[in-house]
Amino acid sequence: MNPTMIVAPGVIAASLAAGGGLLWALVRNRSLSIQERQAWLILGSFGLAGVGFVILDLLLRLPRMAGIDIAGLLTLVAVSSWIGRRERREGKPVADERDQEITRRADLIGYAVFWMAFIVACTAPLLLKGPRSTVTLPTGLLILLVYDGFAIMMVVRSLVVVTLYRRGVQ
Amino acid sequence: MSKQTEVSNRIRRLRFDHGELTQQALADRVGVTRQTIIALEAGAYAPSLLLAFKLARAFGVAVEAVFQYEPAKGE
Repeated sequence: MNPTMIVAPGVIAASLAAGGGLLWALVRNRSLSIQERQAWLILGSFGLAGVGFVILDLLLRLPRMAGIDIAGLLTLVAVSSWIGRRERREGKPVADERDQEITRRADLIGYAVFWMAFIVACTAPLLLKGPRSTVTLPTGLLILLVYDGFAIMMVVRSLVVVTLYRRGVQ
Repeated sequence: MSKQTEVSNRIRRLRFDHGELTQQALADRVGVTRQTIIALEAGAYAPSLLLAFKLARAFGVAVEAVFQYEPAKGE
């Protein structure tokens, strides 16, 4: 057996555990607001997923598992909504007018980017094949289109949240 | 890096003048998070009128004693 195949899983597991550990410490950091922690969790998870994709898919060429990306995204949504549960239970204000303003702007930009990505993806066949061509698309691609749009929206929204918390909001 | 607003404030000074009130204690009094008090003191956030009045009331002073408007050059 190739020694790379024996060492690689351990290295990957250790790297992902270290990255996950750092992410977990960030998520538990109460000096950050709940929205900011959620945004970091989403950005960190997408970053780790990107690293995992490069190692597992592009370098090791391991077989792909259908639907694991959608399951991962749904898990991320569930975990991010769990952040700040303790603060909410303690009855402290968890989102004031500044947080609401940042959330409003991030939602607006994320939503606009989602629709732009969706329109670009829908018009791509027209631009690439011409208006009179017939294109056959696999049904899975339609789900992927919505899923990818949602993933892009989450990343853009999180980037806006982190930027506005750092830069300030007027 | 924070973008400065045209509205400056004396919140930090007033906190120390009021028995070294902590950011958390002030935040609890006016119903916001400590991060918002930090952003206000850093000049990275211009509050709503309602929050400005709440802050002034928390210190027992007029709004003008807490916030000052400094228009940009050319205004």
